[in-house]
Parts: sequence; structure tokens; C-alpha cells
Amino acid sequence: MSAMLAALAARDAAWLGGCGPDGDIVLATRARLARNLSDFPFPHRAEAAALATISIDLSRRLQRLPELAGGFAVEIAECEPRSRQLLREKLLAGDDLLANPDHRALVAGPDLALVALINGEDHLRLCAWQSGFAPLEALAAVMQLDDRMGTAFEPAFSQEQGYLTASPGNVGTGLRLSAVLHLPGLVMADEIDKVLNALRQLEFGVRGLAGEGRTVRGALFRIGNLTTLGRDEAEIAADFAAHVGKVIVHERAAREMLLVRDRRGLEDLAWRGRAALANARLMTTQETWDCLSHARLGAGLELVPNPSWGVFNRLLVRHQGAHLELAAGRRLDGRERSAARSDLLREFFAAV
Amino acid sequence: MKCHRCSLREASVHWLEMIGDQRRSLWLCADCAATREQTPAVPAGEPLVSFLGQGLGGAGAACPGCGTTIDDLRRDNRLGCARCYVTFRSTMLPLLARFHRHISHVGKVPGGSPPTTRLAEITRLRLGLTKAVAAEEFERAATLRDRLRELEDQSGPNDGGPR
Ligand SMILES: [Zn+2]
Ligand SMILES: [Zn+2]
Repeated sequence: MSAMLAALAARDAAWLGGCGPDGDIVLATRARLARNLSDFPFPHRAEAAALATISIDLSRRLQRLPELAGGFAVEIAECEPRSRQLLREKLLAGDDLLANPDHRALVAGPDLALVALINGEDHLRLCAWQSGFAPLEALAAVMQLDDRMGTAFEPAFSQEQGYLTASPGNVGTGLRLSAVLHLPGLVMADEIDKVLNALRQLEFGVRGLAGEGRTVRGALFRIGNLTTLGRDEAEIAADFAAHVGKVIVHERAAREMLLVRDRRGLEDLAWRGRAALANARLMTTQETWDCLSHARLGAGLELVPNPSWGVFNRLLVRHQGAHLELAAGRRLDGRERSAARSDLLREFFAAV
Repeated sequence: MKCHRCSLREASVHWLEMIGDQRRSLWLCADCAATREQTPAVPAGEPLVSFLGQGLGGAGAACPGCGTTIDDLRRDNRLGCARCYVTFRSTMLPLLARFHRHISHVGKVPGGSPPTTRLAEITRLRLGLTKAVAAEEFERAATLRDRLRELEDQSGPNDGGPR
């Protein structure tokens, strides 16, 4: 593994710090813009030579931006499977970038808040992450990055349909806003279906933390807008802020309701979660998602001590397989992983 | 409660799966949950893009820009290049209208973006307006609406510069 990847593996994204607005419920908010170069077919139709040209050129220009100086530049083709998994666990890249690694690249700033993905589904995707619930700040940051890159190439753009993208689902502004929310109250109160269905009616997409079609774990949901055409960036962001803001309100209400209905039950759940995190010697993945969820819920209701939202957020990333193996410096079998995971968790929870 | 999968052991894990739009809630025992962990749910396309396959007519001309045909569109759920939007325009417009509920772009244009600070201000005002209306604070809403109009009038309704 290259020195750059090793440094990236060890780096916790700044936006996992838990200090943003509504940080007890919202882990982070991301704004993403999809852009393409007008002179080349979209990545899935482009020749290898074209992809190579695009990748080298965009990567070089991105690395020259002061916003990304001192950060990371990763060629996906040079990543072995474990490093690709690492990027997935850090929420930095998805299958569209990682599945066909040749001439795909990722460039990120030192705190991993600004991330550019090259030759994934589109030639360029610019992402800005913010801690907590901060869609307007995320939008401002990604628009600024787009302005900086604006002169670097002729974008695929039409008067009629705006920024042209490989998937017609991104055409227009190319803007997708999403937030990662912890919604155990709505899940336990059995109101989650109602809320998620209402969001779908309003044309928001909802999925598990890891991505499309994957299982929802630890009551973590990723909610994002689906429509990108016909409304400007500010309107999309205001709409997102208003509706996702309502989900946060509902989650708080559900927690209060549960507390009134069965305080002892919630206390028990939270203390059991905490006890396992602070004491267990073998922790499976599923157990860890659940215990972190229960302990976080308890901390939010001030039923159990809170090590800080940042600790919860960082552990959600770092307890996963590729992170554990890279920290250990070798391949781990299932039992060794459970052992390493419990050691990591105890390090943070035993003292609190 | 017994595990929903094996019906043998006591369930201890609440399991939520999302497959496309469908959400499934299961109670599983630790063993079944561990097995489930190994087999990710079937990835589902976004609602929009499975729509590309519908509504597409028979074989037609290939895109001069990239050689993509209707069959390719149906298979990949992706357009091949910027010109595909012209080549397949008549097919795409109804689909865009159905998915986005709009067919034409509003917002940033290359090289003509509104300054970021103004954009942020507009966003803040719109958000405040939504909240004020929801809270039935109509006087505040009216003030916000006036300020929003002023700001938007500065460069036309589309926030755009030269098009
Ligand atoms: Zn079972
Ligand atoms: Zn084409």
C-alpha cells in the first residue's frame, strides 16, 4: 500500500467530528455536483485513452487548487480490494467509481471535506461534506469548488437541460444533497415507514448508510433529493433543509414519547449497549451497529454518559473490516476481527 | 419472539432491509443475522433510471456522438454522451417530465454563476419563508418574500448570467 493510502486510512474526516448543528441525530451532510466534459463520451462509453486523458488532466488541476492542497490523490487502479473497501467505509466513494478501477481517481482535501471523484458515473463529481445538518453550508462549499474548476474545462451543458449527465436522473443542476441520520426513535416507535413514505412522496430517496440496496444498519439512514431539473440550487437546498429538518423534529418527538412510555426499557437498552462496548472481548459487526445505536440514543436522552458525538461517528467508520485490517497491518479472520473490533471500542468506551 | 428466518432461536436483532422502495422489517436471531450480513440485498436501480427502459420505442438511429442506440439505453439506463440528449430528445422529454416534473433547466450556468454569497442569501430567505408560512407568521413571510423578490430581480428569475 502506498504512503498516501496509509495516510488516508489513518485520517478521520473532519465532518465526523460531531460538532455541527443537530449533531446528535445528523452525522453529516453532503452536497454533490455532477459534471462532464463536453468533448468526450460519458465514462461508461469512453475509450480507455480518453478516460486516461481526462483522469490525468482533472486530477492535476484539482490538486493545484488551494482548497485541496496538502490532501490526497488516489488512483483507484492502484488500490488493492481492501483499500477500495476502505474508501467505501469512509463514505468517500461508491461502486460507480470502484467497480471499474482503470483510470478512475479520487482527489480530496486534507480534512476530507472536499472530495472530487473522477470518471465514476460522470467525468467529475464534486462533493462537499459538512458536520451535522448543514445543507446550505455544504451547498455553498461545493458551488465554490465548482466555480474554481469552472474555467478548467468546457462542461457538457445545454440551454434546455442544463448540465448533462450520464444518468438522466442527475441532469439540470447535477445537485444531490444528502444527509446521514440516526433515527432509532422513529424505528422503535414504528413510525419510520410513515416518515420514509412521506419523504418518497416528496421525491426524496432513502437508503441504508452504505448505499443503494444495502441493508439498513444501526438505524442509520441516508436521505437525499432525487430530482435535479427545473429548480435552481438554492431552491433544492431550501426544500431539502425544510423537509429533512422535519424528520429531525419527528425523531426528537419519537424519542420523548418512548421515554415517557418506557423509560426503564430505554435505560436498559442503552446501558446494555454501553456495557458491551466498554467490556466485551469479541464484537461482531451487527452487534456493534446495534450497540452503538442504542448507546447513542441513550446518550442523546442523557440516560448514559456520552463520550461525544464525534467518538460515535468515527467508530461507525472505524469498526468496519478494512479499517480494522489496516490498523492491524494484516488480514484478519472473522474471530480476529471481532477481537480487534472490541479492543477498538473498549479504548473509547472503557474510560467514559 | 422467534427468529423470522429460522423460527427456532429467540430473535435478538432488529433487521431493516431496503430493496428499492420496499422496506422490510425482520426480527432475527444472532446466527441468522450474521449469515445475512454476508449476503447483501439485491441492489436496486434508482426509481428514475429503471424508467428509461419503459417508454422507449423500437430501434432507431444510433447517436452520432457515441454510437449509443435505444437498445443500449434500455440496457445501461445511461446516456452515452452529451449529444445523446439531442439524438433521443423526443424520447427523453416525456421521461424527464415524468421524473423531474420539469423539462428545462433553472439554476447555475457555466461561467455565469451568481456569487456564492448571494446564492446562500437567497437560500436562507427561501428557507425562512417556508418556515414562516408553516408557522403562519404571515407578516414575517411577506417581508421575506419582498426581500427575496428584490434579490432575484437583480439578475432575472433564473439566477443565471448570460445564457
Ligand atoms: Zn434464526
Ligand atoms: Zn451519444
